[in-house]
Amino acid sequence: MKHFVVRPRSAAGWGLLLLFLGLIMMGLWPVVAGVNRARLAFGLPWLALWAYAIVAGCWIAMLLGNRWLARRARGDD
Amino acid sequence: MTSLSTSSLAPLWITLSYVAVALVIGLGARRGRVMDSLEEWGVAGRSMGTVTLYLLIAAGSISAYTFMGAPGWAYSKGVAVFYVVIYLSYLALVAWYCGPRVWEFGRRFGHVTQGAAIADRYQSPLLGGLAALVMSIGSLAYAVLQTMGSAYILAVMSGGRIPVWAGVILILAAMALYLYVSGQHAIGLTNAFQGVLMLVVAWSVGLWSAHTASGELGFGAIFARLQAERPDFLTLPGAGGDMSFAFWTTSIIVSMLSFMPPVWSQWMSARSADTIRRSATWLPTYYIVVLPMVVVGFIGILALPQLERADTVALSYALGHLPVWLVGLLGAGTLAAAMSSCEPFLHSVAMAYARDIAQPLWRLGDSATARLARRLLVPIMALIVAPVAISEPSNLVMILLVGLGFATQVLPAFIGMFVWTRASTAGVIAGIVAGFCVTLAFTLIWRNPLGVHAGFWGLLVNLPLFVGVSLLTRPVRDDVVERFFAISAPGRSRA
Repeated sequence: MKHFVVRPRSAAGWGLLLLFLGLIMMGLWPVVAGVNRARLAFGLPWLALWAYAIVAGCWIAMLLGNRWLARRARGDD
Repeated sequence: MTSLSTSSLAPLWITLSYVAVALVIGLGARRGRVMDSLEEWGVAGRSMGTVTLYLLIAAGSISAYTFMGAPGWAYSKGVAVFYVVIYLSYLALVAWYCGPRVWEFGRRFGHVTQGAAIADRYQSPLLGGLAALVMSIGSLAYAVLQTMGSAYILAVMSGGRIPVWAGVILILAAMALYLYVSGQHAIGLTNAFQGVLMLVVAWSVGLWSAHTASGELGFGAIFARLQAERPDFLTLPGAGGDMSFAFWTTSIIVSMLSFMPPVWSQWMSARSADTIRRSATWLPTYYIVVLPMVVVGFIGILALPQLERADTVALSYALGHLPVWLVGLLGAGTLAAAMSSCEPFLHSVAMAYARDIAQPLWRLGDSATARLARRLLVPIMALIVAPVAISEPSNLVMILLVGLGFATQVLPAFIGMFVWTRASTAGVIAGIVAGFCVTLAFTLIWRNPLGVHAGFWGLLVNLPLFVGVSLLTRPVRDDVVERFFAISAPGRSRA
């Protein structure tokens, strides 16, 4: 058989992959260095707030993924 | 074991009541089902709905660490503790992508364990058994740590009346009973109960503590005071100076890429592939459970500056400042966290020993294997977990770190299932062995060189070797690869 590396096969699939990778980059150096300040926002340290922004981002990304999969199953994509 | 204690018996009764409720729920979870197959006892007949699965995975990933270790990290290091929230959310992304595929492998090919899937993909029972055996080291160390945490809580809540050995036996006996009777059904329902309890307890304790410490029903005043008096706790590398960007980053990557066997069983227990996606989607919302307990750790920086053991900060603060009923609930919540993450590991080790090692070795039938898995629970608890937990080894955390480091080194096996068709058996074995040796050396001999996680160093050697050896050796049979990638990459398996 002809071997391959699995990759997305549609623009929406690539978009979701980039969204996931973007979220992962948000939690790692050098991005976290940008929020590494002893400052507060909404009563929380910046880094804590950033962590929960990533949590919310992951939740939203998967919600979008589910919608895309549902559309693909219906044949719209 | 503990210098903390309470003179009132109310917290103990609340904590013991939780154990009794968990026992009743666990035993009742069987609901007349016949537990004579691994399909039923091991993966709950692939029957779990979205909410149960959500709470099963969420409670399973929140261990006693959240109620003891995480406040301790906040107390000793500061905001570095939030790396946990981030990697748990990334694990949800991994579950969203890989979970439905694993479920489909199980449904079509009859896998009930991670080792069985590895053995099938690489046509090597030896590789499946080896992976199961070494994964069990980390799993057992994890289970022992949680059992020790449970016994510690009982000792504190009873004011020392329940010694550690008795606490270990009590907790293991309760789990053994309902795991033997109801298997994964018990884990699902008890975790659902424990998950809700933990959420309620964490926020009650966090908000009450914040109100006691600052007079406000919020966390802003506490962090404002820390910002003024101890700003080093609000940034990396933290107050101890030991959470560098390198360690933060590599810890998240290593934790995100460790596919522990109980998670695999949880995915296979879902009713459908969509059930896993829906549960994974909502999983990050559960991790707000970490925030209030971490805040208690931050409160301790100012209120309890002289603690000997950082991981006792939440209990110490509760015993000194909260009403007894809330101390009891904290005991119950911590015990729930310990048990909800301990029982899936014990269950998965019993399944792995029976299905991935004993069955191919002695050519057992499926029903004999299922019987063996259930019966193995007791010797695993009585001969391994209980004696080690009672002896309270000082190097257990080290064993756990090595075990979890190894879990990440199994990554090539999963790359060959989800991403790359050319992965060969020899390539996977070469990568795992080399990665494990490096992780072992950089954990025991030269700890985390350059501030980089030992498991990440292991991956740096493991992955290139895996790719190189795979390209130089014979690939797995085409029909096997095609059957796996018909699921992992539908429409591309014959490209």
